[in-house]
Amino acid sequence: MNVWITQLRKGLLEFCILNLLSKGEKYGYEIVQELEAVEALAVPESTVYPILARLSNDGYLKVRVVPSPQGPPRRYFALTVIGRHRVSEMNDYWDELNGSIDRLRQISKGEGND
Amino acid sequence: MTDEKEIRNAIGRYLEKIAAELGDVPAQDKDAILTDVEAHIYEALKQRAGEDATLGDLEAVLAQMAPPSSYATNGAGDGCAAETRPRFAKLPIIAACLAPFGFIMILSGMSNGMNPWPASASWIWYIVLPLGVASPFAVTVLGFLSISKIRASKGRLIGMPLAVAATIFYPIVISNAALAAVFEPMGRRALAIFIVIMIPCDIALAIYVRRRATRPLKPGEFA
Repeated sequence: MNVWITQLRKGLLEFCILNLLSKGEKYGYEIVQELEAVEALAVPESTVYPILARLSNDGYLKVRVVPSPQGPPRRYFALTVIGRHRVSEMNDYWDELNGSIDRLRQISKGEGND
Repeated sequence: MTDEKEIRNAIGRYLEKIAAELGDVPAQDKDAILTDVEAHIYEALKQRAGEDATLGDLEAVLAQMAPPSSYATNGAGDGCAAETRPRFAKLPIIAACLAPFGFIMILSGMSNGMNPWPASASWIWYIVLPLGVASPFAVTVLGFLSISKIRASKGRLIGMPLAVAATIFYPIVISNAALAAVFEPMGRRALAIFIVIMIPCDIALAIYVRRRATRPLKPGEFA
């Protein structure tokens, strides 16, 4: 796979995780399953869990531990106040970037047709 | 689960391999990742085989998961320790602490001649004097090094305004003082004109250095 696709996916993953959690708290396995369902992302759990640990460290996520009768406890992740602020900023930037790239591609297509 | 003990041992071995791959990741992050992976395995196992999972089910689950070796790049590389919040660079702080000594030395010397402190506290002078002499050079060099380090850190270090201030502080003070000494004998009017000209020049120099210091590095360029 192209290196740039891998890099792009990694960069987008934090954005996707924070957006997933903006609807409410989720535990790790649930997050991985939902991300795996997005075919273009196709990220393994070995990428997701370190990012969850980092986002928790950085204060964007809070963790609630719920004991499980079988196996280890489930760790539920939810956005903190600064996490919500971060998602909102990221979404604004994404919209802006998306619009600009679309315009750029339209211009390139137009020049290509000339 | 019929093979409960074997399953637990096999999961333990898988987690040990991941722990080894995570290497330098801080212990707290490592524990969090391992807890999440362990919970992931049990969830996947339960989804696949319900309450009666066998060792074969576990092997199938592990086969679908990422190999432990992939944590070496994702855990440490993407991850935890490397991308924590940026910290304030130490060098500009040291430079800022050193900067006043030059002034203390000059002001003390101007007011009372050499060693202005009373005999009982003359040891202070022996601390202030070397620090004061070294201060203009040390602060400028430390400021310059701070700018390089902060630029090279790619966001991991902050404190650029202080680094820029340390770099230009003494060059501006010394050059202004030297020029003022030249203009001063020409009278008050010449000195006032000099001040009116120098202040915008100093501000422009500060803005220029700040812009140069904060512009992004080009590929292959050294900080």
